[in-house]
Formats: sequence, structure tokens, C-alpha cells
Amino acid sequence: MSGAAISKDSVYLHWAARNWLRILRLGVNPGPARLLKIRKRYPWVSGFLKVNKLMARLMGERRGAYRQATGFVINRLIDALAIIVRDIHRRRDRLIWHEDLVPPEILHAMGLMPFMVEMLGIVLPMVDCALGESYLDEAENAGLPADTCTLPRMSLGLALRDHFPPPLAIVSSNSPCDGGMSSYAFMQKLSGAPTFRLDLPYRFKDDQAVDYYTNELEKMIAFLEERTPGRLDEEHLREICNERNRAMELELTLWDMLRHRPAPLGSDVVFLAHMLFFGLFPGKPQATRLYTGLIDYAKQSLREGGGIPDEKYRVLLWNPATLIFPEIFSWAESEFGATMIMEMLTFNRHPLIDTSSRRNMLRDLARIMMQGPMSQHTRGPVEYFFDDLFFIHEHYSTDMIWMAGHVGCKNTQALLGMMREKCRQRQIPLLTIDYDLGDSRVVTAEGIKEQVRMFMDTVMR
Amino acid sequence: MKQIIDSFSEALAGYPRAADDGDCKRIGYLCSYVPGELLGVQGVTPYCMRAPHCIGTDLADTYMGRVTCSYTRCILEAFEEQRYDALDGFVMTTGCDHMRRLHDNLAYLHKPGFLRLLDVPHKISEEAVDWYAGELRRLADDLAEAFGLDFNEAALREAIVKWNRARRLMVEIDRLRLADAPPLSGAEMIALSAGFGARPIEANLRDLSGLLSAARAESGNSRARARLLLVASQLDDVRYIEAIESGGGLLVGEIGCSAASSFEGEVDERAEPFRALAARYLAKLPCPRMMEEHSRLLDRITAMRDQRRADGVIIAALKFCDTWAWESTLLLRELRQAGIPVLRLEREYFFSGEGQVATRVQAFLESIGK
Repeated sequence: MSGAAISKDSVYLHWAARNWLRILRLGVNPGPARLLKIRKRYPWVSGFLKVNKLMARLMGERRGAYRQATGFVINRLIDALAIIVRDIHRRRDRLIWHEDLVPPEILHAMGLMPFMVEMLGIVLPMVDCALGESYLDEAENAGLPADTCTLPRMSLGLALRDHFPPPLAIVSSNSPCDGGMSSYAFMQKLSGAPTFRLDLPYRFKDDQAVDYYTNELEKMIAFLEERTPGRLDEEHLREICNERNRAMELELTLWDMLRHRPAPLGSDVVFLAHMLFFGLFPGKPQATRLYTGLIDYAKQSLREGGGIPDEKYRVLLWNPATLIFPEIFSWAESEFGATMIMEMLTFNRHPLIDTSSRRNMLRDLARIMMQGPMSQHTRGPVEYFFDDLFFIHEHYSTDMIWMAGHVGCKNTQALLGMMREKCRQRQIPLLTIDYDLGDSRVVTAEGIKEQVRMFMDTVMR
Repeated sequence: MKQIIDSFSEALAGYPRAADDGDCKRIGYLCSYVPGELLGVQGVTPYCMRAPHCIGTDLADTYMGRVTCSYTRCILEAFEEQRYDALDGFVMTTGCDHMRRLHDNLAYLHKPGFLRLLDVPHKISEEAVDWYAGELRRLADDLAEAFGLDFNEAALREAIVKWNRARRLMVEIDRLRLADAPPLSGAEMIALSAGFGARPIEANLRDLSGLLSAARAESGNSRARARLLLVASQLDDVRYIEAIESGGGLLVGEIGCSAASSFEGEVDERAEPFRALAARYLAKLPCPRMMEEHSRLLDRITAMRDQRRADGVIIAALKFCDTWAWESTLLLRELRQAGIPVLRLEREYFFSGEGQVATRVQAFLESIGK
């Protein structure tokens, strides 16, 4: 959408204004002087100011309730990021670095401030590729090979420049892959913080593995209680888990609505909501409100005839979404009438948390982490990867699969041959997009578009 | 001495052949976390899998891509070429992402009659040892059922005792290299330590014992241009070591899963066998796939460097190995901070770039004034 069109767009203006208001509120709390200090100390905060540009890219040509839903979820994203910016100073005495698959519910219930190390590696490429890439260069200059995954590599760049808020302690795990796991030895060295690592067994759907992992969580809690002011408040954990269950039920409703043809929303909206409120702030009332809002927009969108009334194709996006080209969703809609209906990181289905006892809550949180993306896909047996892929394909009646073939993810690169044959056996058209998750210099957004166009022009014509 | 080393080199250079004794089962295994003892009880012979003389991985690349570890791709290629037909079964581990995906592709493409994946914990604790002991028990049960074997405690203890003896011999031979004039070169030592897994344990015991006596009497090489320590992941091609040593440098110690240092640490012969095996293998000199062992690895490198008076350290990690990529970057930083000269080489599993290796090592020696 051109700048002129954007300026005339009342939906965009409405949400852009609300986003700015939220950002300006940071001038009140923590206050202008403190905010300037934070911005100087953590230059990536400036990248967040570009969030309205991201919103315009994601909105693309979307209309009606679908467009509103896109603005709504970006506004919630800004709200979440603003809370993090505020708290990295205000709650610095309780700040814990955690790897993205360690359950933040427990840290919240301990009164600690979780800081997901990988968050910036996810958000920066979406809002400001160049800023993210400068951190990649920093890590490469320190000797880290360029073939490593850009997600932990970007985190290393941030840590080397001392652009992370200092932690009291670190909690990480062996998930989702060797690269992510191995990065934490470096993080520990650079931060000097005591580190606890959770060890996820391989066949993690067995009861014995769940017990093992639950014990790991208990040890993590003991570790944190010994080294930080955090104490596990069982009742608080129960409140968080109950609230998480409510949001989960709403998310299930939303997922069901996506099965409509044409779908009411695309999966970028759902993905961002999931990342925010199951990855960063699970069990918060804001999550429940977000999903309630999204369901309302989805209902309205269905009344309007769907997100893309002339939906021609439904696409399942596999692997983490193309962070350097997040508008692939809206671009595919306008270019091909293709709704990207679901992707790998969102469809994290699991039973609701049993809140009857501390042990049961921890067991179910262990299950969620063990069986959630990406552990489910990259840490466990290959059956878990393909079972999930083909289940989602059938569940959402998708017409094709786009595999976001992140070159740094050797784990999934080594499955591409098998994936190609399995899709062929099932007569599912498969596009493998060659690109890098966080480095647009490897393959540009235009390069991704070209690969998609070629596929749509040849295979799907 | 040369004759014995040649016999190890020959074993290293070839693929497994059918056992002379038709009743003896041969089980191929990948990863230094697989206890060879368990595959060496009566009626079974272990074979540590390699892909000697692999010159390309075109078939394997079709399935595993080109940006994955070339060791695992070479192994898959050798399967495609039916190089392991003489083996009766295969045991792998969850050692790293690449090995797990090798297992997955193997199960998909070839479905060997016996293929097991051991879940090796990523850290050391009492619970982890229990977990791994359970994995080993299940493996023993599966082997017993598949091949009609009797994994009784006495047989397992006998295997443990033999392997401990072999370990002691290997460590003693390796320690001779502390001398000013080491009797063995790095290439010869790698032939022994990597070739060990391709030979029956009885032959290893006999020959290592003979070699130890002979090596003690050897005058050794006192004219080396520099003494070097090698840190490397899977490395079983003697030619690579020869390229490193071609410029006059002499390896006086190696750290890695194919090196003599991997023989350090014995299995407790008095403890319950499965738990003893699990404890020894989890606590052995670590692979970077272990989450909490970086400091131990660093300490071992610096101690070995001091003990063996090495002038510099060469890290030769396999390209595309995620765990070594991170580990070697951190090691590089810390060794340099400690004032230890260090050179990092990236390599493929299949032998290539001989000239480049020699040139870079030459330049490294010059940079440290040797």
C-alpha cells in the first residue's frame, strides 16, 4: 500500500494513532529522562518505533474486520513491547533471561521478570532488518560461523554489544535445537549469570519422560529460589494457569473459525497473538481480552464474506514464518488469492492445564513445553514432525504447503528430501522457499516472492 | 611397531567385512556415547562406523541437503552404496541434530532390521545416569531378543573388564607423548584410537600391549618444529593429520571423540553394570553436545596443553556442526584471552583441501615464531 493510500486509510490511522499513544505513555512511566537512558542503553528500542510501518505492511490490501484485526494485534504487540521496555528498568532486580521454550508461567508465578532472549531475534527482523543484521555481523566478527541459525546468532550479537538488560540468572534448555541449546554457554560467559538448563528427553510423549521433565522444572524452581528473590506462589501459578486455560479455549474457538472457507483471518494475526500471549505473557488477562477481540473480528469478517472473499487457495506455512518478509501473508492474499491459514509455531494443541495441585500444574506445563513448537518438530522423533504437518494440512483443508526452508536450520534441512517424497505420495503441492530467517542479505524479500511466483505459475497453474 | 600401527590403519581404511565366524553378529554404532562394551558381549562384535574414502555425497545430499554435517551425509552415502551390508544391526544416539536426522533418513530409506536410537541426556546428574542406564538396559533387551543373545551380568562384566584394560593401554601409550621426543606422531596415534573401533577387542588388547612395549623402547621425534594440540570432532582420516604435521609440527595430544583422550575414565567394575556404563559414558571427556560441560572441556584443553608443553592449539571442527560452531567460537575467544595461540580450521569429513590445511598450519607456526 502506498503512503498516500495509507494516509487516507482510516483503519490504519486509527491503529497508528493508538500505537503512538501507547509509545508516548512510556514518557509518563518510566518517564522521559529514564526513557532516553533506556533508549541509549538499548538501541533496539528505537526499532520498535517502526512498528506502524510493519502494521502497514501486514495490512496490505486487507479490508474490513480483517484489517481491523491486523491493527488490533499490532497494537497489542506494541503494548507488550512497551511493558518490556518499562520493566527492564523498573524490575531489573528480578530480571531473568529465559530461552523461548522455557515456560514463563513459572517465572511470572515466582514474581520474576522473564526476558525472552530470542524475542529480539524474532521482532527485529520484522520491524527493522538492517538493525537485526548489524547484530548478526557482530556475532560473525566474533568468529561464529555464518552458517549457524540467525536466531541465536542475533542474540549473541546483542549480548556481545551488551544490549541485553543484565540478568540475575538464566534458564535455558536443550530445545528447540542444537544451535539454540549451544548458544547459552556463550550467553552464560558473557553475562556471568548463574544458569540452569532443562533437559528434554527425546521421546517426550512417554509418561516417564514427562515425569523426568517435571522434575527438571522442580529443580529449576529450586535453583531460582536459591539465587533470586523469586518464590513460587502456588496460588498465583494457579491463577496464571486458569487464565491461560481461558485464553487457550478462546484460541481453540478462533482456530476452529479459521476452518471456514473463505477464512475470516490469515495466520499472521493468529501467529502474532500466539507469540505474544503464549510465548511472552501467558496467563495474563490481556491475553483473554485479545482473543475475545480477535474472535469478534473473525465473526464480523465471516459476516462480511471472509477475510479474502475470493479466496482461491489455502496455504499451510511450515517452519517459523519468514521474519525478514512478514508481509508474505498479505502479499500472497493480494497476489494469488491465497490465505496462509496456519503455520507451525501457532497450532500448539494440548490439554488444558490441570490446576488441582502444584505437581499437576508443573506436569502440564512440562507437557506444553515438550509437545509445543518447536520442540515437537525439531527435538523429538521425526514422526512428531510429519504427523503434525499432515494433521494440520487435513484439518484446515489446505491446498499446498510452503516450507520456509531457513538455511540455518540444518535440523529441518535434513528432512527436506523425505518431506518432498511424503508430500508427493499424498499429492500435496510443496514449495520449499530457500531463504534465511533473519538475514535479508541471503535472500531478499523480492527473492522470496520470485520463488513463490515461479511455484504458483508452474505447479499451481 | 610399524606393523601394529599398519594393522590399525588397514582396519580404519576399509569397510566392514562379514565376520569369519558366521554366528558372530556385528553391530555398527555411531557416536562416542555408545558403550562399545555393550555391543561386545559374547556373540556380538561392535563396529564403530566410518565412511572411509568417501569422495562425494550426491545421493545423501538429496535427502539431507548440503548444509548438514558431512560425516552423517557420508555415512548415509555409504548406506546407499551398500557398504554396511556385512553389519547385522545399527545403534545410534541422539548425539546431535544431524545424527538424529541421519537415523530418521536411514529408517525411511533403508529400514535396517535392527536400528536403535539411544536417548543420551544432555547433562550429568543422578537422574540422567538412571535415564541412560534404562536406555542401555532396553538396548540389551532388544539385542537379546533380536539376535538370541544372553546378556547376563557375568558376560557384561567380562566385556567391561576387557574394555577397561584396553583403555588403560591406550592412555598409557598416549602418555608416552609427554616426552620431549614422542615415540608416536599424531597420525599414528589417530590410527590407533580411531582404528580401535573397527577391530575386535581381543586383537586390540594383544596389539596395544605389544605396541606399548615397543613404543617405550623407541627413541622418538625430538626435532619437531612445534608441539601442537588438536581439538577435533569426528576425525578418522589419517591423511588429514598427516597434512597438519607435514610442515614439521608434531601433534602431542588430541581431544575429541576419535582421539585417545576419549579413552580416559574407566567403567566401575564393581557397580551394577548398566548404571556403571551410563555413569562412565555420560561423564567422559565431553562432546559439546553436553549442555553444561564447556568449562570442563576448556580446563582439559588448557591442562593438556600445559602438561604436554604444546606451543599452540588447533581446533578442527566439522563444517555445519552447530554444537562445535558455538563451542569452537567460545573456545577460540577464551584460549586467546588466556594467551594461548590457537588456529581454527573448518573441514569436511571427507578428505579435501590438503594443501590449504598444510598452508594454514605453516602460517600458524610462523605466527607463533616456530
